[in-house]
Amino acid sequence: MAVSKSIMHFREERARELERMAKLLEKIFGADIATTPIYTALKELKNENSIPSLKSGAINQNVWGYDIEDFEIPLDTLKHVKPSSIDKGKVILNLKVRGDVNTWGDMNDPFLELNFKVDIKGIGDKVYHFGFHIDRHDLTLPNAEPHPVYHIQYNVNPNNSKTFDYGEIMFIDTPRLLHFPLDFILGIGFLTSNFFPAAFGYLCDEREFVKLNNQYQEIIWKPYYHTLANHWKPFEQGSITWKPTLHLCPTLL
Amino acid sequence: MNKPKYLYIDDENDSSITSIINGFNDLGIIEVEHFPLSVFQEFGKLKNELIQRRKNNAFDGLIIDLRLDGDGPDRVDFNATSITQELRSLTARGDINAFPIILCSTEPKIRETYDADKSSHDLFDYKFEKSIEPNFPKFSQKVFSLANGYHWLNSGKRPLSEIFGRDDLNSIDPRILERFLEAESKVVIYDFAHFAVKNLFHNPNPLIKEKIVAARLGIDIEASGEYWSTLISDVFNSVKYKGLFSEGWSRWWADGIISVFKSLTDKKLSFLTAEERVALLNEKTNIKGLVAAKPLPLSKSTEFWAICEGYKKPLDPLEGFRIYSSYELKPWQESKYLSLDAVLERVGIEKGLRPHQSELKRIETIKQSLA
Repeated sequence: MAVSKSIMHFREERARELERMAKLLEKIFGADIATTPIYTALKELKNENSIPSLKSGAINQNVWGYDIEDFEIPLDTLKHVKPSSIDKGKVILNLKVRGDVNTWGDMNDPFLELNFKVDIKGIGDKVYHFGFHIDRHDLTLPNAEPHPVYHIQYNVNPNNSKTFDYGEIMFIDTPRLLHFPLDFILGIGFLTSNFFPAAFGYLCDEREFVKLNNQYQEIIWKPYYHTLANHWKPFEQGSITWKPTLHLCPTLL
Repeated sequence: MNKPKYLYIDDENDSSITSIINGFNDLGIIEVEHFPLSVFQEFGKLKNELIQRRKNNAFDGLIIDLRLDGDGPDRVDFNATSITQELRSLTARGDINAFPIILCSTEPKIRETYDADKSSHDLFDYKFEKSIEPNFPKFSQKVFSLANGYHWLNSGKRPLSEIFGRDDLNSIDPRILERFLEAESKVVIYDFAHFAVKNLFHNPNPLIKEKIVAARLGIDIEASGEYWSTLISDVFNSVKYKGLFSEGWSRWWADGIISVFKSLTDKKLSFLTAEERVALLNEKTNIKGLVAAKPLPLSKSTEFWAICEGYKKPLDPLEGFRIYSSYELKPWQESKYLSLDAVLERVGIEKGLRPHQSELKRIETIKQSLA
């Protein structure tokens, strides 16, 4: 089943935005990154014969999305890493995005499914791993703990290795901390600001990067925060004195 | 194509030439005939003779010495680059059918002339060094494959899926083949040949060679012996490259290796150690004799994804040092690496293997920490 022209137009626009981000990353990182995972994803977005499936197996041409597999950036914040023997590391992103074209740009949840999975690998006296994910919780599933729909969770053993040495760390499920949703465009600001701040600085000097972030923050973060703020009615926009917002979120460009 | 015929053009005319020609002819994979350069000393005469012979299908390819203007008795006033440039233009215009042109020379001359003149790199399909013991089986297989591939391309227009031997080209990075999809761009046969050899075969991604396949699967090829041969030929045959020049260059689709592993084990290959990868392969394929590769002495990780080009052993790129390359990599190509062991021991330095400039500071820091 081929996707309708209007939906393909929407998907091609999203693909074009991913490509713009890929070119920015090539410019800033050069040979230190491979952008093939982005191009593979955007090609699928542009393929009118491909409809991304949902976890349930449902196929609906209004559903759009992409998968980014093993996109890597170097880990540059090594000074803060423990064990201190680690002298080289990388950050690996695996991302699954699914949304309904009809809710994009509305004051609505832009996604149906989201899995922003980050693995961090470092090498020192041996190989170390760390990981976290920012997920959209499936609200139809029963659960014992209250789940914020978008939450972040850490995992010290992201590969689920049976022989993992937990050392002196005690690990239980971290609280499902509230986190704003991240697609690939907004995820790059999040990842670089945390793990390669110099690159984030260079990206912020790029007009194209700021424009893309503005556009995506408007579509993805604005409905999220306005919905939260809407809990306290009326929304007292005129009396807000807590500024600037960059202190609350440095990637809010 | 049965036995392609190559003309061998050299300014030398002594026993060293006979020995090269016999080296090829004795194997019987290709036929090599000495071209009498002494009779065609002028550029125009040589060009016209080659055009005429090509039109008469009197040869399938050329093996040409780099310094035709060297010290040999048959020397001329121009080198291989000039005549090759002219022949490439003629084939691009369609005056004669395209054919492979192989460069040969001694290693010092290649360094002095060829390496210094980057513009000539795009002209030749392959280069081999005249050494004391040339690897004739390897060279024969490659030049046979080149002649065969050119012949096949000359015989009719073919879709990209047939040229590159893959139906689902849609699933690879779109930048890789985009130049062949542009309606406006005129693509000639040499473009396919050049692209396959220089872009697809020389650097990892989207194709990888056998040693890298083994590294990604965590396998020690030598220690696994026949079990490795069984695995690669039985389990991973579906993702072996079967396109243009595949008889000369054994390669596998990198994404295919990941997919086959995933379908066998339901695990993500890149996140596993060599021991875990091999344990899963032994279990799921019932090939019980596969042996996991060990890291080089100064390496710690067995999450291999590349090889050390110096030792040709598995390496986790995170522990490696990007290699200097005389050409700029395409954004979709992966770097080659040297291990710390190879850098410190200067392994491969004679072949031009050295770390990229951007790695020198890190190497210096590591050296100081080891001192």
